[in-house]
Amino acid sequence: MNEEIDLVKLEQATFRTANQDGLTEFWMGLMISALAILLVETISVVIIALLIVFQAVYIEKMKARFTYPRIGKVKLRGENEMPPGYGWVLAIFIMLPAIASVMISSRYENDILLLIARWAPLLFGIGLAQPAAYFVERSGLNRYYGIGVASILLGLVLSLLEFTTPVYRMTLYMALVGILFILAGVTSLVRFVRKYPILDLEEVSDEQDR
Amino acid sequence: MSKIDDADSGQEIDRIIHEPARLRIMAQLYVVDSADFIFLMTQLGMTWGNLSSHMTKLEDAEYIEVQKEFLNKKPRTILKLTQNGRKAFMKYRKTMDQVFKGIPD
Repeated sequence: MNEEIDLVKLEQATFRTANQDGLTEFWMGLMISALAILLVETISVVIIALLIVFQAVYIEKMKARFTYPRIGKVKLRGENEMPPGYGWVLAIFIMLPAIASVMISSRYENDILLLIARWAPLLFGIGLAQPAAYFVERSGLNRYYGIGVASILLGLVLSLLEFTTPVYRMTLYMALVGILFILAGVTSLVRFVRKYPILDLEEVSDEQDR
Repeated sequence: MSKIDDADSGQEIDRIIHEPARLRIMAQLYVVDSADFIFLMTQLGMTWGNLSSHMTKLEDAEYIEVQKEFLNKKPRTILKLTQNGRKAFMKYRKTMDQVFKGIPD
């Protein structure tokens, strides 16, 4: 009997149950898509700011509508805290310069800047490996590694292909990744809604009392 | 508080937690910050009545705290382990480890 492992598995099972609605993937997809638009249309910085500011409110409203009436509400440990670890810091330090290099390369011609901008999709994909690893650790599902690997491979392929400007390459990459996340989120949400009917606690309790 | 003496190990087994359904509730609440009644029902596969009766016993022992809130005008019962409950659960785990320690494979 290994109580330690059982508790870890129980925590992972709880995380899987709480996140099977696909809203996290959907939100990540929206963020990445908004970043893609930002590369060609700077006005989308307003959309990104709104997404970040109202993230907690929107997700809570979506969960109140779709998730809580079906599987109930659970507050996971540390869910409102920034996940610890150097991996996140490293991911941000890889992804931000990658996006910045693409944006700046359209205004200033510089060989090093253009080189970083060319490989920006691959760098961004490497950065996305960190959230993938985080989800594997929290859920115990190795399939999240697939998201990380797919992001890196897509980044590598697009970095190798020729585009007229780095902006087009990166925009296409982020749009594809964003749409994939949104599709994954919507698919999970539809499956979740079909799998779990809305529970009415009052009805359930009345039935038990009879 | 209800306890069982284990003469051989010299440890007391907490009977409140020792009951399988309550042990599962305690373990589930141990790995989260809080959970509502519906979540525990679906996650543990327990009926409303069963969960309700065990919830009352755990609340009486001050191992869990129960809060009522309204979501979309519907009442919702939130359960959370108290500090006492967390300590009691850890103590129970240690006690059970001690109990099984000397038993040969």
